[in-house]
Amino acid sequence: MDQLPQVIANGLLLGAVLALVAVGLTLIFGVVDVVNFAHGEFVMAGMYAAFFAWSLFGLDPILAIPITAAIVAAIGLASYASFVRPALRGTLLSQIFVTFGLLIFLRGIAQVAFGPNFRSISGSVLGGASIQFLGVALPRPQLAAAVGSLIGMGLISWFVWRTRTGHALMATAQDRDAAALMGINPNRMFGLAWIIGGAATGLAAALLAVYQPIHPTAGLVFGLTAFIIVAMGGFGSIAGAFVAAMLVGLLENVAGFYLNPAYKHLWVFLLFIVVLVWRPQGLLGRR
Amino acid sequence: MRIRTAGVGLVSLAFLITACGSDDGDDGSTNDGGGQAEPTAPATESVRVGALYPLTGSAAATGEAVLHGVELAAEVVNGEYPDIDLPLAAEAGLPGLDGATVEIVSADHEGNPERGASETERLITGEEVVAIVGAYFSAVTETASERAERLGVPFVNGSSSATSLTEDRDLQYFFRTGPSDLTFGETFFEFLADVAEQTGQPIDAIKILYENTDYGTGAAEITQQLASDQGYEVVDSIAHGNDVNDVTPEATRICSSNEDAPVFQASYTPEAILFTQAFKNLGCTPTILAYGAGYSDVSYFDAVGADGEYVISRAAWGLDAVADNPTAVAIAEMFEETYGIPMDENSARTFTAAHTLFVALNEAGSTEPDAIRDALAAIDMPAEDTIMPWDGIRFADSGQNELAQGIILQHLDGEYRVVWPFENATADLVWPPVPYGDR
Amino acid sequence: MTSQISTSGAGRGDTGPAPTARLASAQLDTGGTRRELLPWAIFLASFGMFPVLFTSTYAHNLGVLVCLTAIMALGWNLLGGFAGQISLGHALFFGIGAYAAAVGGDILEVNPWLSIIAGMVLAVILSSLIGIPIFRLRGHYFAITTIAIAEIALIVFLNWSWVGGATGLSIPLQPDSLVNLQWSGRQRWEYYYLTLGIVIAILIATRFILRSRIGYYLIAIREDQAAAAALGVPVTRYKQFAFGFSAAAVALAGGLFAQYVLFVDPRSTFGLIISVNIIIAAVIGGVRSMWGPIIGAVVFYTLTEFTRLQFGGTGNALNLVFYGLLVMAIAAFEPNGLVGLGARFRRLMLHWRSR
Repeated sequence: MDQLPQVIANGLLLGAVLALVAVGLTLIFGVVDVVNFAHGEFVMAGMYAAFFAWSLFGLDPILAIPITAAIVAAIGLASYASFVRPALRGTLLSQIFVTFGLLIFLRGIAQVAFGPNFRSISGSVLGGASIQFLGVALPRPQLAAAVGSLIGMGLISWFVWRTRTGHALMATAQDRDAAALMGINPNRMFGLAWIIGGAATGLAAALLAVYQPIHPTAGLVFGLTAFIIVAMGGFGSIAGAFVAAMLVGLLENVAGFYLNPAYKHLWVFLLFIVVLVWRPQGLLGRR
Repeated sequence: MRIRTAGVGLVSLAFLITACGSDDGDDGSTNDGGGQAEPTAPATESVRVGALYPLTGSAAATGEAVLHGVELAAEVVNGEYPDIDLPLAAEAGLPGLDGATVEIVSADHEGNPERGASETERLITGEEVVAIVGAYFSAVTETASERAERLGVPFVNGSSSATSLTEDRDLQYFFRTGPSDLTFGETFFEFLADVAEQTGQPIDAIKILYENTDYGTGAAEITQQLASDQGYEVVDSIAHGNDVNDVTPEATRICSSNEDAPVFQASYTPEAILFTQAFKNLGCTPTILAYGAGYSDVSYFDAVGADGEYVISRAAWGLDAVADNPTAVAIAEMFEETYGIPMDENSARTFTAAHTLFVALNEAGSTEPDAIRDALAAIDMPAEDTIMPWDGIRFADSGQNELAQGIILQHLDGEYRVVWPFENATADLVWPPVPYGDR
Repeated sequence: MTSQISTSGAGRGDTGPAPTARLASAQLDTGGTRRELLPWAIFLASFGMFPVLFTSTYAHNLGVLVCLTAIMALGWNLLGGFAGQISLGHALFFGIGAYAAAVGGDILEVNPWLSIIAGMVLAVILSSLIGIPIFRLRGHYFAITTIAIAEIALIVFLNWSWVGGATGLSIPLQPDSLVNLQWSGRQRWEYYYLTLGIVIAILIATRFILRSRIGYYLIAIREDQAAAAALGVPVTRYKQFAFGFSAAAVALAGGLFAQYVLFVDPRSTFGLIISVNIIIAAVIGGVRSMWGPIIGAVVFYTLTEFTRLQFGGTGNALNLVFYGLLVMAIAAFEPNGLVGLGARFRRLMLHWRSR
């Protein structure tokens, strides 16, 4: 029982990081109504961007955040403009499918371009040690990622609720046709959603790159966890994604520590199913 | 409707194209059941050998490196290297086959056992290889070698250590040159007993941390078995997944009690990196006794730097361990020069597997798989004809090289040094390891 | 917002004719006998002659895998393409079928046919139980839930020592026979024709279902579930039917696969990649057509093998790049897959001819 504070701290930190990874995904879904199954690959791309910013220009990942955010935003916009947008005219299945194709494509490009080796960043100002707080060890990289996550979500929420463009975005999310009637161009809003979602993901990726090994298949596990979190929180709800992420982080750590760790993900999946069966629109979802 | 007609027509065309593309070499005869492989390549020019490894996916970097081991063996045999004192190095090609050269045909199993089986078939029937070397992942070696057995083609393995590959099967065409995890496990426990004696401090509890595929669970089972046989208490046995992004709960558990119980760990590279970071973050420094894999990988050390010091690993090879064997040193240098990465335990083992196969090929004097198989079964290579710190190469009926041995290495000052057996040690063991915070 | 009602199938922002009219026009084309026979003839001829024309083990192996994928894609498509419920977790049923065969062969030592049938029964029972809570989920939520369920099964089987845990199970070699469902030849005639026979059986079953009232209901559910319910269609019951049918088909394929490879382990049977491959095959071929999944299975395998042979194998993953581009292109520009492309081509020809 004496490890409980540490386990909870681990859970909260993990949750905050997962929240940041998920927020880009939920924003895109909320506005465009598309689940980006290549989300994990966007994270991977951002991590590579951070790595090269570090290895080629000596930039600490914190400083590289604008770069990674811009790069992933660009990838998001390019994906939307090229294949996703035409797929939107099709069925749900085509929309699911187009982003699966994007997943395969990005993973292939990463391996072709960067090779399969693991890359790591060392010597970041964030890296290495832990901060001791009330008897609990808080690893600096995860702590920074958690802080970055809160800041990132705060920024996005501010943008969405406090600016005109943000309002236009939310209007499109709530009722696309009505928004169009009011003069809001849905196509531009979709593009904007992909850009912002991409930027948020780029931010997450830079913070993750401080301590995660970087390689072409790194995306899969981030992606799957992000889908679970976003679905559980309610597609389109940023607050929902945050709450769900916290639950997932805590559950993984508590179940992983007190029960057989081999099943830690199983509890998360079970929780997810239970939540959805109880509330089919997710914890804080709209429909 | 014509839509469907056009579609089905397209289908047939598509089917045709692929089937054609890989049909070369097949004489179109309608063999039925149980036929032997009849290679059509003339024996005097080149002999094709398959190399099956993970070339894409998360182990791709290791897959590339071990493939280079095989390629180097082929290069040594094909070229003229009179200064290298290995069988078949001095002359060009294989004298027993009229100077035929060896051609390596690589294939990618992507870490998937079924793909390993399919690629094995493709190598044998499509690419007409006379034998196969592979496959690194024990799970893939399992299925691939079963398929090769059914097709009657020798499968030589150097780099997979799961005991079940030789102990639980009864294959005639499967040969493993490297030690199994059973050998490695026994090595570890002998080592532990010696350490306890030397330090005067008894060791009576251990922990096990393992990845959840064939390799890890096999290693865990053996460790569990040997521990209970020899009276050690297994305080905790934790399985973890591969390609995960967080190992904090598992690491927290390891760090939560019995700080000085050594941790037997079987993990691949990315998880090894995550665990080292997690331990460091939690402020504990467990003694890691690694079953190779991730901890043998250069990428691990590149990633963790000084935090990788004092890791203890079982190994089949270490440059340090063969430092007084000029041939082995020469090969290791040649590897690094040619491929730009240092030779490690994994690539050394695949080099040896391939080289042994070529020696058998030469002895057989024929490209007929059964002859090669028989030559392999009869092989008896003395230690000096290899680059390994073993007693030699000789296969038991199970296909296991009974002369393979494990040594214990510790990562000190940036490289692996032999620390056990104490008589052959080239450096002093540091036990327990220096805490992360003090480095 | 009207387009929200039909998130499970119809195009977004679809403001076409009133629901009932849409449902009426969505009925399948029951064209003349000759038009219907032609695809059958081509299919039987090409698939039937394939192993005779291409006798290498590699080609036969490919043929067997294509047929197995076709079985799975056809089964899945009744649920996904015709009923509009996109399941991304069908690997669950594949794994159950494969493990049923493996457990039967290795542990219980019963006849493989019995094991496979038991696997199918289990799959159907499981699908009914699962369906109860999850069919009230819509669209993306349903899809991701199915992934979660398959992942749970993966974790359970990885840690269940009775079925071999992570190491998996090997089915012991038995003398060649149909009863034993095993043949050891270099070539794969028996496996191929057996699986082809099952493809044909499933095709016939699918056609029968689609022409019947059930098929009409399924399409109605896909096009506009609320309208269908309002018209009195027992939505849940028919969704369950499609689910069960697809589960049985995929489990059957799993059992046959186990008897073919003679080895099962959790990752190669419950992995997400299997669910994805089934759907890719169906989508590439065209989910609105009965023949789509078969065409898709062929093209999927042909393409992965072709790109692997040409660009891959050396590990540079160039094959993945091409493959990803193709999937994106089809999803974006021809959602009705190759069958849809064929239809467009035909319209173009007609248009050109009428000039």
